[in-house]
Amino acid sequence: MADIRSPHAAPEEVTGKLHDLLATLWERSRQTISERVEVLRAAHRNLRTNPADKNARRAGADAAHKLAGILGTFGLPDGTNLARRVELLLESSAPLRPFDLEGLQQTIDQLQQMIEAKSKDAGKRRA
Amino acid sequence: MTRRILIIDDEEDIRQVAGLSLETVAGWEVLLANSGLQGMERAETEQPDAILLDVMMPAMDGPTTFLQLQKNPNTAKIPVILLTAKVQGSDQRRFAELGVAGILFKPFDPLLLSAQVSQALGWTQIH
Repeated sequence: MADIRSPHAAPEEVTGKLHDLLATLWERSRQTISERVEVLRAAHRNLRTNPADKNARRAGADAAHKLAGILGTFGLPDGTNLARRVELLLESSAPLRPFDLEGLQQTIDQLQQMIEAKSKDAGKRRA
Repeated sequence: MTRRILIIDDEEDIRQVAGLSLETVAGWEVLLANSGLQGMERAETEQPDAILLDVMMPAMDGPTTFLQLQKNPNTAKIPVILLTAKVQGSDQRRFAELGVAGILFKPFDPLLLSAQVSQALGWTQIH
């Protein structure tokens, strides 16, 4: 029979070890995650100049997709939801209105605040 | 018996988190590949028990990689689980029609990933 341990029965030391490893990994991944937020900001800037810029939409949608995939895994499910909202907006074929661009700016700001808050929290735990 | 899982994903942070999760929680041996091509090579030489395959990758995406694995008699029988951040029903139906063993979604919970893989593959769990 296969030796597969159930995570539901994972002893506390396994859970604690995993959390510690994930905290270390968050530190290593933070720069990549911040760079993806910067890609979103650049896409937003380009789209404010030219709302029909397909390359900016594609680059922004790709960065948002990657953020949506990783943030929840690091314990930021709200970050995943925000990133997914950005991805859907940029992937849609509908023209971007000023209202959409304003919302995009706010969502990117929220994402950045969420990521910074988690990093500060992780820093406090280490200290 | 220790399971051997090959994770194919172009994003390093996803590879690292999924790898840590499967090693720490389930005690499985994890193999990593950062592209579809590298994954096909590792699958053929290492003969893992299963493959966790990202959908969106540059050059060769997950579905294309899966079809190539199926064409090769040396890898055709290795079960493949797709890992995707795509939540739209049309995407999910398209992936299911490929004939993969399962579909898991990003973001995943690192504590639960091994149980989700086991469930998709019908592997018995020992509590």
